[in-house]
Amino acid sequence: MLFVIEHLEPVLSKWAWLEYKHASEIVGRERLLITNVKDPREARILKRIAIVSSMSITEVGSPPERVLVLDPQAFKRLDTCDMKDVDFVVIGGIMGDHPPRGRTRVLLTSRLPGCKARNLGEGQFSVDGAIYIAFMVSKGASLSQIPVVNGLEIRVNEYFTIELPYMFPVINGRPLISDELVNYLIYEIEDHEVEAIRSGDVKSIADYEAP
Amino acid sequence: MTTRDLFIQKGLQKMLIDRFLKHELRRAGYAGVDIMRTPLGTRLTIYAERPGIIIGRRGTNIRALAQKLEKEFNIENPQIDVIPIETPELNAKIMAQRIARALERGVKFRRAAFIALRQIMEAGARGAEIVISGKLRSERARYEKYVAGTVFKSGYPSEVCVDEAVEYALLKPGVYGVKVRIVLPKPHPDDIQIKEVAISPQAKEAS
Repeated sequence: MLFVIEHLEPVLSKWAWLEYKHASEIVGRERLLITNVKDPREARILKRIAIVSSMSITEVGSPPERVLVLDPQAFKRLDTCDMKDVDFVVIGGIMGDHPPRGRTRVLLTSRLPGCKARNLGEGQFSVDGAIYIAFMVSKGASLSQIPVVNGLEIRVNEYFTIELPYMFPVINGRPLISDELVNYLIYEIEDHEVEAIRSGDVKSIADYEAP
Repeated sequence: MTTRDLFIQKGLQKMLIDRFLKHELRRAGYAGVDIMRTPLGTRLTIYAERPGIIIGRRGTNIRALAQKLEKEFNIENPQIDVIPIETPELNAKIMAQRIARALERGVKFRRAAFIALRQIMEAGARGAEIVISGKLRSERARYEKYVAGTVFKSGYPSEVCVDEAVEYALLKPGVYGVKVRIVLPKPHPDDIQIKEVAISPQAKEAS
């Protein structure tokens, strides 16, 4: 079984890269497939952490009955038995809005007629959080056994906090988020966003990599 | 027209005028308008950080503004008064505008928010909260919250002491919202003073 991230953002931002990287640390490089990567520079970077394809899962994932899409708007909740007879567990590589716009359904589920669509419960998960839950369910855990927390507050100092309005799985009392992402949100994101505002476009991770 | 419809129409017109003035007087630090019908026409009291920009040289800008208001909103004989805001740092609308404009100019927004927070507190506010939220393309939506002092969110003090405003910064790669809450230095129901009562020597001896 492969865990698939269908990359659906126009560019691979550093935030998305850090979530994908953390997802790779959870399931392992050989079990993570990132599809729909059109930019060859981004594909070269992503190959360090996953198997990469420029094709979409809608082209690769056949027959559709063996594809399971994790869609927050799906009617059925993910169950351990759903993981049987499945080759691909697909997570939308979408950097979410708040409130969510339901892009997974539009960009993924509706384009894979006949696939299994399941939700992970209430709320919207990060990519690495969704991969972690899918991975645990594939190992036999039920959704009710995996504790989750709604919203995460990163307290930088007594005056300043960053709030992420998403669902996070909890491991040993700590929400699942990579330390690299926390550091990025505290120290780097302001510079990247100011640069994006000035230039009018968000830069890809490939633009920050040394040639 | 029923009384209810009349009030709705008046409220709607005030909202449209407010939006129009907000757009027209962006550079002047527009902070609000009061509209009052008088026997001679309509009196508009505009509150702004820099009244000079609204008035213009020899009143040219204010006359043009009156003409625009008369034409676009059918206001009879508009008489415009411009009142400067004494302490702009204690006006949530002005502070939210300042941060939103800083965002649009590509200034480091955390720095802009901290500067605004410090200015608000130095102006004598009991507390302040600035929330910058939004999402750029290919990034997740998030909230950044900057807080100093005490900020009332519910109950009577929040109605009486708190000035609140929301502004938007429309940027090419996405939209940010800026929400500012300022707890004004007004008397608060929780403020209790214990009076010192002078006790006479006889009363002291008796006790």
